[in-house]
Amino acid sequence: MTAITAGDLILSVRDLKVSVNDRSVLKGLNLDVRAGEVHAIMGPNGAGKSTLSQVLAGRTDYRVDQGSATFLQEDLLALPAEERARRGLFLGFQYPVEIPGVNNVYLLKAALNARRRAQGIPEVDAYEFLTLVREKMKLMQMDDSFLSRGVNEGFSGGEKKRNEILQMTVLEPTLAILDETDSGLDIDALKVVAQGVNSLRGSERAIILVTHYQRLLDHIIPDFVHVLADGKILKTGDRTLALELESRGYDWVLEEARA
Amino acid sequence: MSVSAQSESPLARLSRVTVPAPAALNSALARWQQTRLSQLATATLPTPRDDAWKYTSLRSLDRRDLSPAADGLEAQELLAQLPTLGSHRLVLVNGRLDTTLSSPQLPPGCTLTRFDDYFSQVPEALFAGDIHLIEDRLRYVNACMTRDGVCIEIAPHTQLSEPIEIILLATGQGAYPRVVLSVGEGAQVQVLEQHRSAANTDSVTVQSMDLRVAPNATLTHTTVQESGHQAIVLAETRVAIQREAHYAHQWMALGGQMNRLDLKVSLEGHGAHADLSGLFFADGSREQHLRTLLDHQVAHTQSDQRYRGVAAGRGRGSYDGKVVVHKNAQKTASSQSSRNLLLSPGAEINTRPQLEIHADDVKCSHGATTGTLDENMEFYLLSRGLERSAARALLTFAFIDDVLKKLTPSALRTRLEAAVLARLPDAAILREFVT
Amino acid sequence: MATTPQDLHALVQQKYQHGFVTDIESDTVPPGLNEDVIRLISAKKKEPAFLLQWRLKAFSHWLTLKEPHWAHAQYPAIDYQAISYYSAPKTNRDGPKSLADVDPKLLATYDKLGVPLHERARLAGVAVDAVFDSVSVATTFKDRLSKAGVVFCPFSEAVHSHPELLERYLGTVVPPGDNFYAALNSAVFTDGSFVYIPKGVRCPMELSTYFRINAANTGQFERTLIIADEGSQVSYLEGCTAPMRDENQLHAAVVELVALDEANIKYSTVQNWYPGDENGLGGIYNFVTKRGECRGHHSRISWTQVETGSAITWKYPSCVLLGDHSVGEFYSVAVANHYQQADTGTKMIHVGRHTKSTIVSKGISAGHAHNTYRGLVKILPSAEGARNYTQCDSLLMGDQCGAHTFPYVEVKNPSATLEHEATTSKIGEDQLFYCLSRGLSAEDAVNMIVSGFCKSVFKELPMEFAVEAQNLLAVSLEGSVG
Repeated sequence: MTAITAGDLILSVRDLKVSVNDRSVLKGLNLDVRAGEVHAIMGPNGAGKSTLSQVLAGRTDYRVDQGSATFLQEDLLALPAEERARRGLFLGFQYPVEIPGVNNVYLLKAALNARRRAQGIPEVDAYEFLTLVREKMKLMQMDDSFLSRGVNEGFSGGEKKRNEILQMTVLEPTLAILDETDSGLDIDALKVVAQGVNSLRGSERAIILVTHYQRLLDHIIPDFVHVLADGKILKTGDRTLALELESRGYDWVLEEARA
Repeated sequence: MSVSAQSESPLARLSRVTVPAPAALNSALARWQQTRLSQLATATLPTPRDDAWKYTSLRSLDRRDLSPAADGLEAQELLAQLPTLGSHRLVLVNGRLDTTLSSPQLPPGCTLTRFDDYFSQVPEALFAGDIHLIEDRLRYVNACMTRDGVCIEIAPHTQLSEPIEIILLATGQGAYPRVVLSVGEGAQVQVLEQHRSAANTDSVTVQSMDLRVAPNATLTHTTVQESGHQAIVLAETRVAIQREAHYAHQWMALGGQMNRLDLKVSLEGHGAHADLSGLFFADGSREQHLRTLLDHQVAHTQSDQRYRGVAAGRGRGSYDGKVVVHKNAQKTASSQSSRNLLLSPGAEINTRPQLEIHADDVKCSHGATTGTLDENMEFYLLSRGLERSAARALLTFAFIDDVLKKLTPSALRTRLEAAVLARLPDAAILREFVT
Repeated sequence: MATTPQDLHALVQQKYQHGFVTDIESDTVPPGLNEDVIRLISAKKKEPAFLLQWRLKAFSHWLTLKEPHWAHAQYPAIDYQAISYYSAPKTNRDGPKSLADVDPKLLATYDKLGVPLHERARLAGVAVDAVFDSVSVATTFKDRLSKAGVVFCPFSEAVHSHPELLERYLGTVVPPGDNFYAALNSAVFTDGSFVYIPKGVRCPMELSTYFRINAANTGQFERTLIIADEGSQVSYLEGCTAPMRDENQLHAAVVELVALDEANIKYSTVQNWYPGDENGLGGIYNFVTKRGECRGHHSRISWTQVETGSAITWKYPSCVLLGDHSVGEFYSVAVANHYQQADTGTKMIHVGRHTKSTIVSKGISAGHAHNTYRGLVKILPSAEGARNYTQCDSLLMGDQCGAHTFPYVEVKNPSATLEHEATTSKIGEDQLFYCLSRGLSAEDAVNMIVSGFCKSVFKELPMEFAVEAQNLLAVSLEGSVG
């Protein structure tokens, strides 16, 4: 695998149409994401934001009717979820599932080593791994008790989101898709999460923030803001677009698109 | 149906077996058995048409020889596979106490009596049931065939720091172990009952166990079933819990070809509490069947049941649990939970959580679920790069370990966790998760 | 079939004025059951040959069957040779001559339930010439149905008007040899209801035996067959919410439902037969076989029942889910007071892919009564992605009653998901006390709490039924709190 540098095309979605239970949700979506960029995808409820995240991560209960998604020159949609993860795609879940009995940190270690095997680099041993995780946990202001708990088991909403970002900072993905990572967070937790995300910004990767609110973007400044509504990207702009959406809502974008 | 030698009941064949051995002919037990044995000639084994055996078919016994096995040479070898968990061990080989393999003596406060001797003092301890009742049928078979069982008496207020291990080894055809355990007032004991059998041996064990927990006593009883894949074990354990006494049972059904436990618990005194939990793992073509009966006879008694079952391959499992609350057993509290995982198309799980309630001031509940692995959990693990098979094995193990991790002593827990792991795919990855 | 108002009017007049009387005088058959009796029943009804053969086959099978006995039901043995099998429509003549002859307790109950005056006479079995409004009600009713193409008539009429449908569907859901009582019913059934909803038709009104005048007094071996053709919908109400005077000790009805592709059948029952007195004397034995088959994909059968009557009830309205994505539902409230024994539940047999079933059962026991839920959920290997949710709750009032839950859950497909929950508890003392401290009477408080307990089932009933069912509950539980 050749090294990725700023400006390389990481993800390219073309005319993507997706339906759930015979209801069409994405209706011809186009999106290009390049190394070094942070994209924010905003839109009203039910616009298809979560569907996009889930489809890109490999969830199979969505039906792709048409279109393509290319990730690092590979057909993303042909890969099973675990292969996407190993190639460096990370989804931060909107609702991270609780898995009692499966240790939080061992899952992370298994995930990291699965990624490293795919990259052809040596696996980390327990000591190296713990050193790494402890450092990242400090960044995310998580205490040692997270090491021994089950995956998200009994975590509060905020703890679950922090745990997602912790995983991301350890796995160092090429493309991180964070689905409503800000929802349910108080302002302090939001800052911690933003700090984690910002620590990962760099020329060798890209980040997609899927969000309903603009406040996350005060802390993670995006390069592009897209409006996803009615199953398509209807408008693309810079950070000021997010502020405009906050004050004016989404209706004007829809009207503009219809005109 | 034509009457041929083939269709003769296995019990009829058993009725012609010369038992007991000539040397023991003069014991009271032997005399009882000789007069009763002939009744087996007309008795039949339970079938799925009998309500209590709806999910267990004993057809496979038709092709088996049930005559009592001789002492086996493999016993020592089998025993060597079981690391000791304390210094008190009783080893029964094919149902008979083996003094050379057992610890020379039990700890202070514990008295061991041969069951044959105990019988001459307490004859009703052998069989107080009715041979005509299907419910009592296997106990009757055990009564007719058992020899050299054990009776353990724990003196009042004895506290044992180490468990008593009762190890049951099967190396031949039929084994008919009989165990009586009486825990004296205020005593606290743990008993580990472990089953093993020789590989490639068509052993059949018909076991009967009677436990009495005196007022204020605590008995923790763990049954670990790791018999070989041709072994059939049909065990009945009857427990009487007296005033303010506590009985905890953990059922770990991992091995055997077919393994069935009928656990019948009477809550006989105010404040009696039964806490039952366990798991079965029916992979390959294994069958694991559990039937529990919680008989709340008096007021202010409590029972809790938490079971988990996994069936994979062509495995079959069942949980048939019944709680009976008698007329005056007010303030009874009873909970029943059975959660089951079906992992493959050929596997089958049947559950029947029953409540029979004749008092009004009670709090009884049960819950039972059967299903496959949670797909959201599975997707989460895949999205973190785990192989599908590893993700599934991991979730299966987490499901099982929820019961395993509560086992004591910890050496037993570690050993069983490893044994379960070894039977799941991707054990190497999973091992990391077990700490 | 008779569809014009005139025809119907004539029919009604005939039955109520003269028909039954002459029938009875010439046709009463001495007690006992044998082939001749069955031939006689069939001949009197001028049935086609296939039906007689069908009855005789059922009878010869019945002779081979053993009478079932559940562990939790106790009752004196029934002498099947002492029953007269063709004297069903006898109540008009044998009944009380006027309301003055009716048991005052029964009348008091009508009062509490708010049964209209003119209805009381009919329910109590008083021989009246015609029932006031019912003729016109029934007439407009039949008009609307026939316009929609819906067939709704007595079974004995369907034998002549729709023999092809009968021959095709009768006994295909509940085979004549299914069980002891179904076999008996198949051999000797006298009448019942027949419903056919054609393709794509949404039945314009709720069908109810209550409005079908000649459905009353169909006797103890009633038979109902409902066929919902592709894409059709029907809601059927059975029974009535006031206690029916009835002289038959044994009731062994059979109900068969067939739902084809995307059809939807909702079957609601309020059963309030005579439960016997507070000492357990008398009362009906209600041994019913009810089963529906979801034969088509996306079909749905929903059973809702409120069972407060009968001395003994054995009843397990079931669904066989054959079609892919078909849905079966069972919502039940069973109340047993005094010495009643209610043994009820359901069977959900999942055969098709992605089939779904829901079971909600609420049992209330009071006095010396026993209330049992007995259910089976079976997932066959073919039932990919099947789902079931079961909830059984029991409420106990008094220390002499019993509540039992015997569910069977059998799963042979790993993609199925099943959840079963059950609770048994006493009526909450703190809830009762709270209500009393707010000035409610003990009886009102109990009614309120019990209604709350049953709410999830009542909401499945058609609106006007739900209100009456609540009143009925109150009447049934009278005297259960001191």
